[in-house]
Amino acid sequence: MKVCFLLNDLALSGGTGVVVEHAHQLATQHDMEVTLVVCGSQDGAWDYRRLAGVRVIDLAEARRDRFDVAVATWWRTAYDLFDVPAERHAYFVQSLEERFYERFATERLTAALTHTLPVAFITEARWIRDLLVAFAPGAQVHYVRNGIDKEVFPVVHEVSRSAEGRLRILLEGHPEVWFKGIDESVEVLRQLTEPFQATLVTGATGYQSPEVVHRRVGPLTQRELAKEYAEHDVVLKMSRVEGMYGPPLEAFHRGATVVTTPVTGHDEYVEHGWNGLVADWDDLRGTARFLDLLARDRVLLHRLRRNAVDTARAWPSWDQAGDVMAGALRAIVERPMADPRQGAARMLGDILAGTVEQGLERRQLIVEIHERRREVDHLQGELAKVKGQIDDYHAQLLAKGDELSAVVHSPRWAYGGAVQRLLGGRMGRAMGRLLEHPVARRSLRRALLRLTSG
Amino acid sequence: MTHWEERIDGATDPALVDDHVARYAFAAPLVRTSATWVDLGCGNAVAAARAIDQRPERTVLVDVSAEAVAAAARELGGGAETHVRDLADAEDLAWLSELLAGAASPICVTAFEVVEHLEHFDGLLRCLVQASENGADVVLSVPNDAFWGTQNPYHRTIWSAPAIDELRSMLPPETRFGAQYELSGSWVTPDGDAQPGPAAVAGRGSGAVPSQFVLSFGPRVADAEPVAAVRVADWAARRRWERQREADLAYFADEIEVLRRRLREATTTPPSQEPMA
Repeated sequence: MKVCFLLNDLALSGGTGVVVEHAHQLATQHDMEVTLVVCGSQDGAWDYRRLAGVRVIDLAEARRDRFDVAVATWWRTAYDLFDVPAERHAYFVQSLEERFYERFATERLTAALTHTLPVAFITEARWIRDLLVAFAPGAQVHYVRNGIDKEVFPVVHEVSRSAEGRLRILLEGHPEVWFKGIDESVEVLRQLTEPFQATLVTGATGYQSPEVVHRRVGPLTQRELAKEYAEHDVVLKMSRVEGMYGPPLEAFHRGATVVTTPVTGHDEYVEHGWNGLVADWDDLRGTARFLDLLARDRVLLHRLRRNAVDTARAWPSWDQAGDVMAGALRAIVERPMADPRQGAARMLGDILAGTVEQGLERRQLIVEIHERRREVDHLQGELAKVKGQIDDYHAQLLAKGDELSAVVHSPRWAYGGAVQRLLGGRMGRAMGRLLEHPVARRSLRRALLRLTSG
Repeated sequence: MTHWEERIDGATDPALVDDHVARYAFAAPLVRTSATWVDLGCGNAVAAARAIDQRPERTVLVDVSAEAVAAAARELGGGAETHVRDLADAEDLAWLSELLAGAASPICVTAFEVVEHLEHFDGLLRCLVQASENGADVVLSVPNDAFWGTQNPYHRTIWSAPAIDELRSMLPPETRFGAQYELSGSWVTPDGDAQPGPAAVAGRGSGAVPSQFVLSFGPRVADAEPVAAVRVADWAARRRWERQREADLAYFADEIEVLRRRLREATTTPPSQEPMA
């Protein structure tokens, strides 16, 4: 069977890693001819052993080929999917990716629209599957969990007792990606009352770590990350959007438990009070109290960590996940295609809803523009007034200047200068003494006034 | 029920044997009314022999172990075909497809506690789905290993409710996603007579979790009825089994201690000095 996966690029990321691993399994274990089609940037080639046996081509080359099934993997690649000749088209949905964008971002609409395409769907989390079934009635929707690389994240044989010392907390994620909730995690740390040691694992090199983060590491390889998990008691995750929610599960393999928001995907494997603790949304204080509890109650901490390891042990490897993916792809190829009309109404509805939303935003922007214009008009009026005042002042100043110039160039001004010089010398000193007498002072003033005013 | 054995035999915990008996009892009405019964991963057929009271004209026993199929044929009392096949192997699966395509109908295929032993199970599932499309009834089971987090060393894949969920889109739409629950209970008899009476499941706890998932698909599986294989506990067998396990464990624990001591001695004793020439 000839299958291709469309990727935006081969840059190192969790989503790409999942696709590469499936490709590897299908090529090596299921006798499939697997191609990765890079639709976007060719930079950042995946320097990874898992690419062995997998063909990597660009979109132009894929257009000249033909496949049994072509699979889009990131919403943007869905726009290139039908350019690739194939008997069947499918879409591997790893998250509802419109949720990555904030309100009014145009990508919210263009990403959401892809979920109603007349294709077969494969997804890695049940919450996504349930939504896709509702979005695209009649379409094939296959649920294929991501495996865990048990070599890179081997299940710890025994959980070491963390009986004393500071609670070792690990934060993971990109601080600038809003939905990863790193700022909230930092705020939770600030509200802890028990002693703790916090490590932030992030690929963001320019990030200034806050004072409550004692250590920052990253970017890390998967093996380095596995080592970090093994050296911590608990992973703190305040994410707002997740797909299958892999990081805590990887941590489970290494003997750490989790304190998490009830984010999408957590219900795939996190059981509150069994292998982790699930806090309420926006309850930073309550989340901090959970961590304080773990810091104080080391028996509870040990129990959660042990159960986390049990959960990890029962999670499928990539081998098992590969079996399910192979089964799903074969079912897609063998079964008839979905009726494109089934999703058409939904798609039109989405377009309508999207355009209404865009229209609302546009209207809001127009109102804002009008307000700004009014402000500008008002300011321009004020400016004109001030300018007028300045012009008046200039005119008055010029008039005074002319008057002053006339005075300075008059014969009386010249005579005054001579008197001044006279008063400045010996004569001046004599006059000074004379002027000590009040009658003389009055006479001199009158004489000078007559001289200068006439 | 948690266990770490590869196959059921005479030394198996009696409660575990009953577990298997119940599954075969569930399939028994289909087996009884079939012209061909194919038991995949038949093992020693200890449970099948107890539950299947009436076999069809043709019985086909398939297992990866020659020893197991021979034991199964003996257990079922002869007249069965035996085949040593690996159900993860493409050639053997092609053979199975051919066998199912050519067998007399109606056909019933049972595959209890087999899938988890295979390195890759997608080939077998495809083969069984294809057989059901051609009219065969298929009943298979996998253990809920993930619930306990146990890892039977003979299991190549781990099964759970989400793992079963993954199969939903691949199996025929009429597939029945059944479950098996372990029962616990006691029986009061006024005359002290241990003859079994009518069994009834008294209630279901709020935390009931399946011990096994039992999937069935094919034209006749809609008729399958719930079944509880309850019988008076064989305390004699249970005591034998438990004491045997306890004795074995004590013996091996002691032996491990002896070996550890020897190892310590061997690693701490300085090498003997060679006499100076």
